[in-house]
Amino acid sequence: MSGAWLVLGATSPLARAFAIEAADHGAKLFLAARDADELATIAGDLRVRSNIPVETLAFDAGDAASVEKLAAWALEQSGPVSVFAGHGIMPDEKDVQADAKLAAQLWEVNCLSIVRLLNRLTPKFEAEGGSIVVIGSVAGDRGRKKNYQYGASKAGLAGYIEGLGARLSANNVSVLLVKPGVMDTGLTWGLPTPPLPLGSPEGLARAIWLRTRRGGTLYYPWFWFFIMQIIRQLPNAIFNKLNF
Amino acid sequence: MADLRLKPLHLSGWGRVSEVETLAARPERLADLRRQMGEAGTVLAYGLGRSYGDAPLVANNGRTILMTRLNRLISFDEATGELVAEAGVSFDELQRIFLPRGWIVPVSPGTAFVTLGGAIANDVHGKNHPLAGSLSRHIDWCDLLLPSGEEKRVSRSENSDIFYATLGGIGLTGIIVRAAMRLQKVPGAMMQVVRMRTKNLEDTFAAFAATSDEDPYAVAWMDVLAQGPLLGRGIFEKARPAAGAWQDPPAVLPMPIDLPPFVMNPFSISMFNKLRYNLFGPSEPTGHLISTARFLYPLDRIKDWNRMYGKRGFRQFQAVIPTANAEKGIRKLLESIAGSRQGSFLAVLKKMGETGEGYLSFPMPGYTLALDFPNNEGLGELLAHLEKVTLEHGGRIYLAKDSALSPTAFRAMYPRLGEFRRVLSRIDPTGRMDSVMARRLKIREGA
Repeated sequence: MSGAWLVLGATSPLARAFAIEAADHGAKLFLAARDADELATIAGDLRVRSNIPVETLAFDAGDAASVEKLAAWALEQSGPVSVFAGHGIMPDEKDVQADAKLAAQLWEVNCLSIVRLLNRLTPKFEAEGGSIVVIGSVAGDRGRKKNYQYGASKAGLAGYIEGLGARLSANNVSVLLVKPGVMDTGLTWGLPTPPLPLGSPEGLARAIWLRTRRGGTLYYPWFWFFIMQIIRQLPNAIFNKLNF
Repeated sequence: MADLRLKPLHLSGWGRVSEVETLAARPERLADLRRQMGEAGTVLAYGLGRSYGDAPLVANNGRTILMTRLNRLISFDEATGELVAEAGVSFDELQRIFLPRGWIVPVSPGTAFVTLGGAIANDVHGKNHPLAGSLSRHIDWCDLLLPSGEEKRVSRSENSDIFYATLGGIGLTGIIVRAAMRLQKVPGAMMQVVRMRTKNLEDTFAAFAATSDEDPYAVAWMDVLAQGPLLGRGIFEKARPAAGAWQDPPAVLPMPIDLPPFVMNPFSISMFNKLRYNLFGPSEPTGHLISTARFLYPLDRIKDWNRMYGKRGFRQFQAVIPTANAEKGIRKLLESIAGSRQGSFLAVLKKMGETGEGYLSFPMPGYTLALDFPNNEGLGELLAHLEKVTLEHGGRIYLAKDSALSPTAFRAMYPRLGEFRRVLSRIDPTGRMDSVMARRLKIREGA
């Protein structure tokens, strides 16, 4: 658990919070993101804050070649490399519907990049063990009229991770699918949100760290599990009329 | 675009009396902060909102830029103790990270929930002012995002007038992006404290005078409702950093409701003060070891303690009286308060050393008295009277606490206002960095 962690999308608040938590537990960190300046700032912060070795890697989830390069790097590392996938985009739904390139990019970044990477790394996980944590979303639990483009990419991801988790359980590799509800980050800032407490990145990171060994699915904050059970069961006659 | 999204917020000072409706941005990346500054219009940075009055509130329906997500540490030099950090980092985080390593934030106000940027903008002081000075002494430079959108490094040797305008400049020179602060080496995360009762004001002043440099921290908690021969009695504490491991502070107690107004009334406050004096004030000086965080930040244990004052809120008054008139002036202030019907829950007296470096720095050699008052009818009158007493004795009022100061008194209390105005007219000719306080005090008028 306090081994080597590859953190994808390290500049996002959720991934950064996880990296800080992992560093507190003595992990060795490899941070990957697209924005080199921000990445350097985040890595520098971790080095000062936690006195642990931190390395940075370029990673553009929308570029298959970049994903392959990262996979090749991971395969070269001796010893298990755990993976935290915290990258993702949430473009405006109208824009995604209108622009086929944006739609492709949405799936590439949110779903395919992780599929590509983990497909390459599966043999290494089978042989050497490690942990996998992937940030999904409650939006993937059922397609809603307000965000089905984004939700679908997370639903596809969920299906893949659940299956991968089932396969790798034989090799003692824990696979955790995290489904945040509404979190307090730049992604939701200024958007209308339900009258519920927003999850904090630090709280999420702590909850993830406690579950990493066990794997499975983690809803955060906890009450989203119950909310989504209800939402999933609603008959279409009711669900389709809701406007959230 | 996600990075330019604004959220309507209701912001208030810590006293919950001054309020403003504003559209706020909360950048998580530097590029987003720059983009926000690049958008035209009135703007002001906001940290953790611990200023009591209207200093952090943007004027003119402007935009507020919340800085707390820009809190990354850039570097720390173990040899010199110099820490470079983004302005949004809190002192609470810094103490948690560095106290276990044997370093302390050199100057800290009574709460750790302040941002580095906010602390610089108010040139905060602590219980160790005579020896350590105010925060500005320990700041080597700031990277400042100017109203023009340009970024400049400001220090004693580079753009020094902007530097001195920024120290204590309540955010009017631009937005501090990051700063270099020298931490202080300490033997451990504990404080060796000596505590004793003082019988009256003379006794309290004597206790301060008797404190040597061995005890850099000193503070007196005074019973403000004690009258006549008991005036100025209280509990005096002095402390020095001591060896001892960092302990995780006890869990923060929630304060989930606003107390109804009758809870904080002159009778109950008087009872509280009497109880505290008799229960917690040892008749003989007694020593004990306490964690640094608990000594420095007694109120931080209660989350949202400002809610104890209920919906009507409270106002703080803090003034410093110069050494020559200190005992006389403090006595006059206490007499005015004891004679009024306004009750104060918390009254704190601290000794001060050198004058601050910033043009609008508050400290001067003397003694500073800080009080909370529930925001009742008639409070405005008392505050105006206290302002008069302060001015008569050559003192001044602390902007971080203020919500009542008049523009004429402000001008008289801050003789370097002219220098401050000159910098502002140069770097912010249109006055886009603007706060409710700046307008109330007419900071820009008559450059």
